Amino acid sequence: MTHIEVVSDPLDDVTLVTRARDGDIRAYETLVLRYQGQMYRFALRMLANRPDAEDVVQEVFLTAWRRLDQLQEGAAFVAWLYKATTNRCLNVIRARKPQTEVEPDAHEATDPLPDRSAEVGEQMAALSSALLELTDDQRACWLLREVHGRSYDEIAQYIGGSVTVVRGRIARARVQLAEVMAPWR
Amino acid sequence: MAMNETDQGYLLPCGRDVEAVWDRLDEIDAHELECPHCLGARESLRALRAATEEMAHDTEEPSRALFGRIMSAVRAEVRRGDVLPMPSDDAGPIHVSGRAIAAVLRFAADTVPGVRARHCEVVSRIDVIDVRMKLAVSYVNLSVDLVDVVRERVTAAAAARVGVRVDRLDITVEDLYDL
Amino acid sequence: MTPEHVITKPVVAAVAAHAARGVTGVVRLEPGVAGLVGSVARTARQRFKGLDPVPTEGVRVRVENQVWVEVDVVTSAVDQAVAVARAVQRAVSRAITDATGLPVAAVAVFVLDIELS
Repeated sequence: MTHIEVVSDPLDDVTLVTRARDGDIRAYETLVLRYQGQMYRFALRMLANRPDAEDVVQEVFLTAWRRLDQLQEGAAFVAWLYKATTNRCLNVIRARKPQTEVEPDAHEATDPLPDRSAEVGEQMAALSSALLELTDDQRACWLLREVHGRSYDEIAQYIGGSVTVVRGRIARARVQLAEVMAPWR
Repeated sequence: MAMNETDQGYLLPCGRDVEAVWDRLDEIDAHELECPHCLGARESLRALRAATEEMAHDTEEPSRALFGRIMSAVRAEVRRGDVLPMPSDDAGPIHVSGRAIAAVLRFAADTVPGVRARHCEVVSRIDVIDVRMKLAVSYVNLSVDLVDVVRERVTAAAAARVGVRVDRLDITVEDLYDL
Repeated sequence: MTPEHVITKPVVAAVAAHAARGVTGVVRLEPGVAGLVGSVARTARQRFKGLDPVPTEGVRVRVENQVWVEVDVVTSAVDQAVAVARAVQRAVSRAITDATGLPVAAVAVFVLDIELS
């Protein structure tokens, strides 16, 4: 028996956001499935802790659902998700800080390579650990630009800073990361 | 570290800006061929670029449970905001999701050829409901009777699938979807 | 002296859930707040004043000298949602009284979705 699958064009974000705003949960499911992976990977690199990353992603998508009405245009949905994920990750990190001071062991909660056998490349492993040595703001800016391909303008909006600030952070992050990748002469 | 941070950026001892080297990693000029600082920087930046590409192609997905948790939370939100009181007795209150009723009514309207239900708003007055529905219709199927047929189907669906009577049903044809 | 007879909320909730699932037209109970984690669950919990979530999905109970129950269900569009909800009320109420001897004050039913397919 052969299965004939009807492949319809995936609906665009604007249509899905419009439907979701009208309470269409199935439309929102499609949006969650479309974007949860990239938000998760971003959060995981920010936090280096899977449960924390999942918590962030869950809260971001629940908040997004609540705020669909305020979203000016459906096309802005992804940008909104990145902004919310960035800010939540930074908040989680800030909330961790006092704990690490009292209790040095709490550092073990984060792991540059959380038991990931797939992550074989030595360079990638070095990069993963080096990322955690950056400041939180630098790491956020660098990841958004270099791994997630967001523009400087967008990133500036996410963090509520200027494009100059964003460029500066990314430049500094790049220098610091490159040094780890190979000895700097 | 043999590098100076300036207002302009990060300068190598030879005076070149690291950003400038980064921007043209695939080209090389006479200076860079000779300059040990630039060569070293290029080597490191190329390694960084390769590792970054690998990271960008990372396909790690969250646990399957995450999606379920997100959607459960969304549904929990929806239901609290959205449930409408229905006719009930001493046994206890009965509520039905307004969104679920709207979906049933949209589905009923969609069964009429040439009709696509769009926005649908349901208001409960406990024993009866009021409905406002907007339609996009096909120009080919547009007729005087079309709205009446939709009205019949919607009213029947409310009775058969929800168990509530529609008191007021406002239907607006807001668009022709095939023109 | 009257012997003490204690029936815990999870037991009452499990009885209610089992009875509700057995009603024709009930597709499933909707996962409730118990399955959620993190601050989402905390905010959700705050919404139920006096009704503690128990680890039975879709059912919340309050047990004093009588029982209050809330059930979240998804029904099939083949049946009238309101009629299914009434049947859930009767079935849950009867099952709790039969199994525990406790009188049931009210069973609130929330039909959270009506499955069309």
